[in-house]
Amino acid sequence: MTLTIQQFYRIAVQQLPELETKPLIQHVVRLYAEVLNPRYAFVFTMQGDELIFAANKPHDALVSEIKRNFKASDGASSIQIETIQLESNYFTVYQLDETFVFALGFNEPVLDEELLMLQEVSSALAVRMKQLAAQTRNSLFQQLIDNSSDAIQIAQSNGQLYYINDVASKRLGIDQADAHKFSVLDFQRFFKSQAEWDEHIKDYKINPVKRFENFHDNVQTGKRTPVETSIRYIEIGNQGYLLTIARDITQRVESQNKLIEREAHLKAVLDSSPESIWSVNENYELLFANRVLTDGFEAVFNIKLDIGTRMIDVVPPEIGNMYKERYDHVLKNNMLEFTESIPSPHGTRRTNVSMIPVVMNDKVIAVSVFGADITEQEHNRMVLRESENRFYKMFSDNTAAMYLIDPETQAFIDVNPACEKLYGWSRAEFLDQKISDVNVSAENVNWQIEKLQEERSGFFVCKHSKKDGTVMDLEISSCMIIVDNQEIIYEIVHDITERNQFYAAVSDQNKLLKDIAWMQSHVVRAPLARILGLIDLLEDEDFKELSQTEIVALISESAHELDGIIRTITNQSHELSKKGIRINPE
Amino acid sequence: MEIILVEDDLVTTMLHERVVQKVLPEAIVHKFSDGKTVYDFIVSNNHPEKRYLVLLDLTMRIMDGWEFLDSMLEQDTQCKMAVVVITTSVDPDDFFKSRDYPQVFGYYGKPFTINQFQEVLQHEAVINLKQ
Repeated sequence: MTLTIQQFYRIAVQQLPELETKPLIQHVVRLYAEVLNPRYAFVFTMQGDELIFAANKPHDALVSEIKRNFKASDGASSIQIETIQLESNYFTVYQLDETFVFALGFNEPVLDEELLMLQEVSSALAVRMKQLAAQTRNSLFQQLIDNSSDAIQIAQSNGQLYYINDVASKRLGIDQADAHKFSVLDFQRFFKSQAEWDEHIKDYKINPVKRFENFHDNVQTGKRTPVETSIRYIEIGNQGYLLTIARDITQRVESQNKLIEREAHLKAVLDSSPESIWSVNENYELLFANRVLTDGFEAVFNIKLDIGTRMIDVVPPEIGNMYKERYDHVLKNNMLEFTESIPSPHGTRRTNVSMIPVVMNDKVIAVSVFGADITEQEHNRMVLRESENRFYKMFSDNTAAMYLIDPETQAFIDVNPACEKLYGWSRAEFLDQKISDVNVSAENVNWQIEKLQEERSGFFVCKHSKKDGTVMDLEISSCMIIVDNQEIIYEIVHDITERNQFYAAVSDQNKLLKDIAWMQSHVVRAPLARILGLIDLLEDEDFKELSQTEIVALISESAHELDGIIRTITNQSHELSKKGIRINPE
Repeated sequence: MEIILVEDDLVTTMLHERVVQKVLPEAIVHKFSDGKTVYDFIVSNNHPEKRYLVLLDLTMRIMDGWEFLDSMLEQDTQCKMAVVVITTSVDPDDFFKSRDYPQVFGYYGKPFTINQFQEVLQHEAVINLKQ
């Protein structure tokens, strides 16, 4: 079937409104082909840089020519028509806008009335194409809105919802179809009344764009979602609309809260530290100070420290200058340690201060400072020194001889003056000797030391020689002490030589007294008993073995013996008192 | 039962022998002047059928009464023996010490009398000795 241009025009324009893009192009090409056969017919659309075309016959030369000549038009307002001649064909190219081109090819030039008609068809086609494009755009926008992960809502200026997307629907608990039954006030509890809202909306007429953080409350469950809201106010006709995009920032808020919580914990830890902790930036401005320092400054200088306080300005100038130098030193990426009196809640305290540079991206951005209170420590050290002195005096000034021995080498480590006096050696001479050198029974030394190591303390009686060779009887109290993790034997010696001599004398005396008692009981009574027995014998008339004279002689002999014994005892007693020994040493 | 007198004083030995003769005229009496000789005698006459009543002085030169008692304790004695200590000592320590020896059953101060010897013979230890 061959259509005239007029027929083609009627059919094409009538059918165009019902057709969508792709069928439209194909339809137009088919019509062209049917009407103008055997001429060529092409329709091109440009999508970006890509040329899509439908043709009744392929014509590579035409495609590349159009591609080359195609130029972005400055709008859809005018249709540009070009006629090009290729391989003895004539082509009329219609560029409708930046995306749409179509071309028709004939084997002879188109007549003017034909051209006019084609131009009208093209215009109708172009309008239709634009409508289709708008539809496409709308559909894309709808897709965009529906698929957005943000809640999108449109409300009228009185607060009544006009449209909500799927996300908003779920978050707010409002069915999309029922959106118009709800007001912004239903899920944005910030506004207590319609009047408040109306007041609020006035501002949008002046500042139509707003961005802020607030909450959306689900109208059914009450679940609250923190959101970051962007709002644009527009007016169409007399009606104002609020276009709102609300992004769920739950995660961000949570991580922010976590961060805040962590900071709070960190601050609590730093605050509870007994150390003074603070940091300053390169302008000596306070970035952080814990309680020890802030309370200390308040107590000592009556200064309230705040973030940003210039630390070198709030203290007396000489201290400020000193600290400025120190901060500067550390800001040059050095560490610094010193001992200083710094304020604390308990007044000024001796403090070990460490200054450390805070480095970020190879640059020192701040100085952090830690101050450990060592007042107590220094005090303790002093007390310890005093107590050491006191104990050393107990050693050096004691009238009892004392010395210290190394249990390993048995060498004297120290002796007190009383010891020097007792033994006769000087301290230096002692330190060249071992305990086994002075102990007369040197073989006892080893087991005494072993016993001490086992039992930690002990009591020994032994003999030591003096420098002049005299041997002393000694009582020794020993104990194991630990000095600087080293075991040392500490001994106190008592010279008991005199006491032993005294005991020996008393023992002699006791023996004498015992002898006397023995003599009284045995020797004295012997002749006495004999006399008594012999007297009995005198009275025994049957006894013939001895005469009475003989018996009397025996009695007499015993009596003399008794007399002699009594004289002996008297002499012994006299001897005792001559020795001057008395049982009681007084 | 044989009587053993242990006494280093001759006169006292005579007096004690007289006491024994007065009470037991037929008795066999052995006399020793120190602990050593009496010890040797008993050891060499150590027969199960032997019965000895020993009148023991404490103070003697060569082996005194205590040493004799100690030696007898160490000796495996077959014979039966009872000891009476007869001493000049009035020292209570000696009396208490004597009680520590199982053979000793009596303790008398000198002079030893006939009455005391009769008392000794009545003693349970001596009656047992005779059996």
